[in-house]
Amino acid sequence: MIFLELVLQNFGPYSGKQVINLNPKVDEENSRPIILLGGMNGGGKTTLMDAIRLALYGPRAQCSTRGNLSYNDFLNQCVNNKAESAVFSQGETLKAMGSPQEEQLSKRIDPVADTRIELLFEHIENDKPIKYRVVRSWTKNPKDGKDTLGILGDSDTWPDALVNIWDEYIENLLPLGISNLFLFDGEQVKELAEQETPPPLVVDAIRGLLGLELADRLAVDLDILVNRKLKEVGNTKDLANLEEIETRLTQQQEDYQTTGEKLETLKNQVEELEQKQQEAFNKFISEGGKIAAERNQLELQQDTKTAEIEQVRQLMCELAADVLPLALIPNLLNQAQAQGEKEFRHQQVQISKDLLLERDQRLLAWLIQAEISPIQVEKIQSFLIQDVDSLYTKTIQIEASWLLADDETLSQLDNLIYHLQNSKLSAKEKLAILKNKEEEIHTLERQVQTAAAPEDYTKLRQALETAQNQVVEAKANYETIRRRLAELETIIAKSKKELSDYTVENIKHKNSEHIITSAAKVQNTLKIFREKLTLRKLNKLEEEVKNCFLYLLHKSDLVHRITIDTKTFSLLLYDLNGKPVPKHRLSAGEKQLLAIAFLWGLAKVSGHRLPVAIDTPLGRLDSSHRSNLVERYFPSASHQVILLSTDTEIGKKEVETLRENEAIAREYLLKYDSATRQTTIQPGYFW
Amino acid sequence: MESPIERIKLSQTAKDQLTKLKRSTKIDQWNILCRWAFCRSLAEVTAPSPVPIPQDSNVEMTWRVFGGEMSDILLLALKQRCHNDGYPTDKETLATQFRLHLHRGIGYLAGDPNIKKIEDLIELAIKN
Repeated sequence: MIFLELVLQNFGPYSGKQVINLNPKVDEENSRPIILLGGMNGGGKTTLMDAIRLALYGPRAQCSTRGNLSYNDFLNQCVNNKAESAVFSQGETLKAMGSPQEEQLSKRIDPVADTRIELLFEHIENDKPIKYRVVRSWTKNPKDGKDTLGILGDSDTWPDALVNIWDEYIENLLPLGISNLFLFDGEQVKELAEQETPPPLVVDAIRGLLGLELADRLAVDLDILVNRKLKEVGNTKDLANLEEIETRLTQQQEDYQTTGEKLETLKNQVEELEQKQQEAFNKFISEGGKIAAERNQLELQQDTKTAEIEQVRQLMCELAADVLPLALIPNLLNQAQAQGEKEFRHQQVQISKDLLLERDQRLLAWLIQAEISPIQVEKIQSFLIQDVDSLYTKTIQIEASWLLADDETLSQLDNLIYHLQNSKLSAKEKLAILKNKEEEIHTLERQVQTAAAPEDYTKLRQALETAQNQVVEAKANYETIRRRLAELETIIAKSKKELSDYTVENIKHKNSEHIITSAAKVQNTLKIFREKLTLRKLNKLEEEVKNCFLYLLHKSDLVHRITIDTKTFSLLLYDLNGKPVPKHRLSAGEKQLLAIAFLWGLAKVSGHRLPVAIDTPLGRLDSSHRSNLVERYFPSASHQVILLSTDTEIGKKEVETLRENEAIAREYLLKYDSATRQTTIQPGYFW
Repeated sequence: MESPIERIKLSQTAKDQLTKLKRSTKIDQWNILCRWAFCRSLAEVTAPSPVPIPQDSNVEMTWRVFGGEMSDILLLALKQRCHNDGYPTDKETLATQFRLHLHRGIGYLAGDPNIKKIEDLIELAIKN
């Protein structure tokens, strides 16, 4: 990177537009590193340095006079106090360029002129040199409190994109952190030289220069990232449930599976039991049914028999209602019959006696008439009388009749006795039938008892009932499990939904966690990297600083080794015997040389090819050191060394030495007019 | 034949006994059971003891109802029995003897442990 041109317009003590060519090239082939700018104290040297810084870094620039001012105020402060007069000069310029008179008038009316800084620089990008002109302009009391930044490319175009990313872009070219070590002034060097440990600003610059800043920044960025992610994780603290949901879901799915298997088993069991039940039922139907049928038949027969018996009994009742009781008294009946007949006979005899006697009389009368001998008649008469008598006597012998039965009754008795026999026979028959039937019923009863085989029947029934109960139980179990399964399904669906709800967040969560854990690792790695890098860079730096120091120093035996503290970057010197050389034993000049050597070493180690601008470089050095610095350091500090010097620092002798060494490309003198308090830049040095 | 007995009224005891008989034989008519009882008593060789018999039940029937178609024959048998037992056959005696026989017969039948069904009653008739 090379600064080619610095343009100041109404900036600080510089009124109007002043252009400083900073190109170290003297002609097409030769280039000399040093751009020498001479100026007395308060002549605007530091302002030039500020201008470069401001151009490059804008609001971030650490300018000498800024202090704690806001950028806006600082910009205001930087506006040239004679801006109005500058307008005239600008107006003249415009007039010269042929602008209309009206414009000039308007400009004149406007008391606040444009303040403007332009820095043209060249650097290598993609193996090609590219020129950019950084333009910053502002006016007094700007409305938005900001400057206007513009970047002009090679062909005077405005790459808008670059304007927007300018801060990042310049950070790649010349990081702000290390700018202090390239654009430094003698005051800083003095501080650096006098202080036991470098100030934080310098420490930061050193870090940046050594490339340590990057690692630090990465570490900080990682911290920020981790914090942000931690916050995210914290915000979604209910994500802690996620794992719980997952475990729950897993558990539920396991449950579901086991329950499903159980259900399957139960289903099989139910089927098996149902089959068993069917078998038992079939058996019951085939065997128990048979028994029942037999039993029914037997019982039916029994009923029939019983009915028949009842019928017989009914008949018996009828018999009993008839003449049958008389069978109890056959003797009495017979006696009564005999007596009845006897009495009837007697009655008949009584009735027929008179008739017989009449007939006997008629027979005797006929016999007499028939001339039969009286003797014979007498014999017949006596026989008749005797016969009648005997007949009569016989009947007389019977006692008086008491039965007094009439004809009808007697004949009824006869009939009845005869009828009684029939009745008795019939009764006997009926009794026999009854006995048979009863016997049959007994047989039937026995059959029923045996045929029923109640134990078998009970067994069958029990088997069937058991089978049925088992089936019912199994079915109930099955149903319970099935319901449980359905419940589980719902629960799982719910859990899954929950899970899917959380999935996105989960991924985020995991990402965050991953980042957090990775960040920790990276931090560790980074720490190690930094340490190692620091060590390596510092080793290199130590060597470089020592070499530079010895090169600049005329007392070459003073220091043998220089070490740099890894944390504070303070320098420790050791003599030839390895004993530390306390800093206070160094003279002020030596200290300054050490500081410059430090800066030089840093510039070398950093590997950046950057221009170096040194403000008041030779504060309080003796002539020996001064010449060392002038002869050895300035020409080789960088490919472009901008020296801002007073006439005492780089005096006549030094300038001549540099000129002899062909180290100076351009010389300028900052001429300060105390009356107008304006500085103008002129080519040439004090001498 | 003219009957010496108009109406028959049973004692309460006899009624109870007959009720039991009705149950066992399933003959549900008083008169039929009474015929059997009467004949049962006539079949006994000994004459019934002349004991007083109250008429304290509500079972009452006429002679014709009692005897039915065989009422004349039963009367003959009673006369014969009285004759055999050496009693006169006057109206009074016959009535008395009838009552004695009837109640004794009821007692016999009801007290017979063998009579449990109708056939047991029939059995009595065809034994001899």
